[in-house]
Amino acid sequence: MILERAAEIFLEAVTLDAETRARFVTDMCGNEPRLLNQVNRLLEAANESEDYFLNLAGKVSLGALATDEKGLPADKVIGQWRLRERIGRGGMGAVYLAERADEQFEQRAALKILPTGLDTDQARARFLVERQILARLVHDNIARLLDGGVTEEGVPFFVMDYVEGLPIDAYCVRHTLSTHQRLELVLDIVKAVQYAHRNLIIHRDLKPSNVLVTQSGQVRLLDFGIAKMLEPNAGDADLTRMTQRPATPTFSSPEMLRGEPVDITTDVYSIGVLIYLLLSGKTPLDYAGMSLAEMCERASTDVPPLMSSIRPELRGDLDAIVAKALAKDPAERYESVESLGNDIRNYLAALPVMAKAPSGVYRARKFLARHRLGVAFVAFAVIALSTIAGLAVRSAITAEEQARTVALERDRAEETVDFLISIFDSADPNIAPGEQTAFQILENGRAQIASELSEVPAVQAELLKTMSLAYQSLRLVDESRDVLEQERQIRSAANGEQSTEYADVLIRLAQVTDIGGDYESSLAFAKQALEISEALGDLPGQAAGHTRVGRILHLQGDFDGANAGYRQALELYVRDYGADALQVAQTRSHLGNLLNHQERFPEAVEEFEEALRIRRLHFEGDNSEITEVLLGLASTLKNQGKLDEAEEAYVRAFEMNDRLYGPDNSYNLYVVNGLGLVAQERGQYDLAIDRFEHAIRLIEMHTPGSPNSGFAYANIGKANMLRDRMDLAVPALRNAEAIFEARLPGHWLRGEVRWRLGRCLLETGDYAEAEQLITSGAEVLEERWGSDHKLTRDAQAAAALLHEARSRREQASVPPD
Amino acid sequence: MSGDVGEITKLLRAASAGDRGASDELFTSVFQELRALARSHRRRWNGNDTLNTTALINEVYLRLANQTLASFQDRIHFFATASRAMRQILINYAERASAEKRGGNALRVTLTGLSLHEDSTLEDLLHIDALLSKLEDTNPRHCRLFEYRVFGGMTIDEAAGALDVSPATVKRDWTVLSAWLFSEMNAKKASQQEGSAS
Repeated sequence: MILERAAEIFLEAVTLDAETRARFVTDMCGNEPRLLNQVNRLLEAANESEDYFLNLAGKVSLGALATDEKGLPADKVIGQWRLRERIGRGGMGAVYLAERADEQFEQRAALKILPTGLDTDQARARFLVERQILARLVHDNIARLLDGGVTEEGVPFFVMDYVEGLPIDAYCVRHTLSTHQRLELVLDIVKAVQYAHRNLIIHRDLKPSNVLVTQSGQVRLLDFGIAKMLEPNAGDADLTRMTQRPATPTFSSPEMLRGEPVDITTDVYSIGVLIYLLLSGKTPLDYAGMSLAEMCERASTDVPPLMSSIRPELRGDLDAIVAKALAKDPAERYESVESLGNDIRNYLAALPVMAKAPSGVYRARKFLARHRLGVAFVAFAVIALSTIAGLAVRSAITAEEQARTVALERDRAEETVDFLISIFDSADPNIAPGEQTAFQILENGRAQIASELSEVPAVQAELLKTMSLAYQSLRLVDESRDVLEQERQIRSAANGEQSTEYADVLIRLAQVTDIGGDYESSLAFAKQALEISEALGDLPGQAAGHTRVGRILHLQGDFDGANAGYRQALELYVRDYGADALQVAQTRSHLGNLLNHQERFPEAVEEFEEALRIRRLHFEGDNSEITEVLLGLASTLKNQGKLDEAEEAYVRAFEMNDRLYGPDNSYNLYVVNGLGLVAQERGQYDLAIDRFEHAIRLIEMHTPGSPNSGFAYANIGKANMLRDRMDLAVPALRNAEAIFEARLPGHWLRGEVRWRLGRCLLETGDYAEAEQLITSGAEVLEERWGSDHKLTRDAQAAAALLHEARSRREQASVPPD
Repeated sequence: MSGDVGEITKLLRAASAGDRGASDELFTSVFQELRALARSHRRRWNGNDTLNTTALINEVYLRLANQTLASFQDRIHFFATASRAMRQILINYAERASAEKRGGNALRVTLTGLSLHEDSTLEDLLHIDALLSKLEDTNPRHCRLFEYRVFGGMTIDEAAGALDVSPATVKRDWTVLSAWLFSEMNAKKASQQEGSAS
């Protein structure tokens, strides 16, 4: 072995010229002959060693690579089988399409063989276990073992049914199966797995690619490559340890991820994930980019969102069945796949199911705890509390009273949800308390409000107003809007359209449609509300109307219009309530955000500081309305290039949110995103990307599928461009574009995403797509921000680059005279 | 060839998180892709039996990952896996070749139209493998470094990224390690010559 000291002396000596070197070595080694010997040998070798090794692989690799496959050329005959093309590979073997070599009758099969290079004792033993398992399983829904043996070279192989089919998820999509039909397929999986369990075999790797469906609709289970035999002595301990780590975390039970011993309920869990995927189109927990430790943590603690949060029509029994299959504790799952199958059959037959949804009240409380007023924040922390502030306006007189009323109204919104839930929960005699989801309860409530309260429109309208807030708390914007439309009709009939009540519901409709991205409707509602308030001479109503109009014009890029709206609102509020009113703080905060976008930074900072001052008068200590202002302030400071101050403000907001809502709260996604932008400004691109990815994790955790992830992906794309990683920018920008296209097709940021994507594609020479993207992107930005805005200028620079590249290419293609 | 573009990234992530199943699967894909690629390019390289390992692995990378790998770490992890696969391929080859020689069979490389390699190179490989196996216990980082540089064709900087140490440290380790291995090989050859001379 290398002597530590010899290495040190050697490293010093190689840098010296020959003469100095000899003296140095003699001095250093003194009278230690062993040391001297080794140093000299190292020095002697150093002349050629590096070059020799660096060329070594190249000298033999072609020979090695080209001959190593000699075991398996096409047309190779193994036993009675002639190989065709390779159709698959797994950790444990290559799979070839094979035909009967004797050609007495046509039979196609799949032949699995241990790859030559992987022929270790362990791999071979594992391979034989799989063959043994398959030999034992004869079932219509499991690919059968047909033959097995050892090649002339001594490599083990076996032959199975060749299943021509699609992975089950792809099959369901291709054939647009109904929920009912999908569940029928799941029952076939259940049958096959149940059969395996009876034969003391756990599959442990149930996932779509291992569950194929043939053209005729038959389910076939494949790949028992990491399956486990339950009886003792079935395989040695090393094999189990080696394969304990699953290949596909998404479909693995928490105990399997943790590397603990598993029983048949691990397959129950995997089937639960399959059902979730087949019915909702999503997997319950996303482990993208996580380390194993993080996956274990997540699998063990994070309760996946109910399927009904993705597809509301799955609420109730199906939510409950999947939740029971996906229980963290194996003891809380169905005790067998058979009982899972029975519950699915119960559901299909419209019979009561064993599984029960968690208590509605409990769930609603948890939702509220997590998403307290979250919706207000969703629209990028700009809207905040105008609805609730608006409610306060009517009855409040002094600033102090207003503060109290605002706080009261807010608490009341939450209390009322609980109250509503408790009423509706026990109101339906067919359902015992605590067995419905919050969504279900609200839906029931909606029906009851319509049918039972038609005599008392005022109460009906109040309840609908509360319900719309409850839906917003659950982030169900469409439902919230539906309920408000109902309320509007009632108000129209009961109060008439020239009433403060009617104006008020319009303002709230404007807010909800704004969150939903329907700016046109939003603006129409706000303008109508403003007209009514003006006709009535209702100053606070007018102020609320101006604020709303300003907000939408702001979002649409009409800065001057927005500015005018906010200023008018501010004037009215100050006149009516005084300079220290919360409504003034709210409007100043809006104005601050606008001025920030207008690049009038010092004015923006002034507005934010004034808003902070006012809110601190009303709220002691931590408060979400304070973090909201901090966020705007931080963003402005960042845009001013005051990065240290910006970071400080972000960190303050982060800590305050943490104290208010606990770790991983949804509010901090804006903060984390902002911290990413600060890092990006500093040129710390890796850190910036880390933070944007953190923001995406928070979005996925709280509002999966929300358009917010589009913004975060756009940021990742830009950061990658800035660090010259066009290759990594492309997928991020494509993600962003897909999300914008689906969720916010008209948002201006999509223009930036498009030109940036085009700019990246320019690098790869894809001029046609690049041109289309850059041109359309630049148009969007010019329309929103005008041709002088920095955002537009950046896009135009990319367009110029495009023309240059194209003309260069055209010149190059013109033949010389 | 992996059809699913995201699959390799997923495998890389799971493998670097310690998932043995994914690690095996990744290894197998890389292993098979290396061989498939070498076969498909055989004609192009005919008459020149040295091969640029770095270029080969890069090409495998591009084919498998289809340019969508998300991060630098993923890339590094891929090249680390490729280094290991390459080591195994070369050592298997050398073992088989020397076994066939011992058994009196000529190496069947002539079938592929390639010239025979010098026996000494193959013997060197086996000797290196033995030395590395011994080193594995005392200094696994040096073993990885050797794999990355020699079998995976990584640069000093890339190896530094993969080992999570500074390039300066890698440079130093590499100089010492290669000199030491080379001197050990010299020593063995010297002793063999003495043996045959006596």
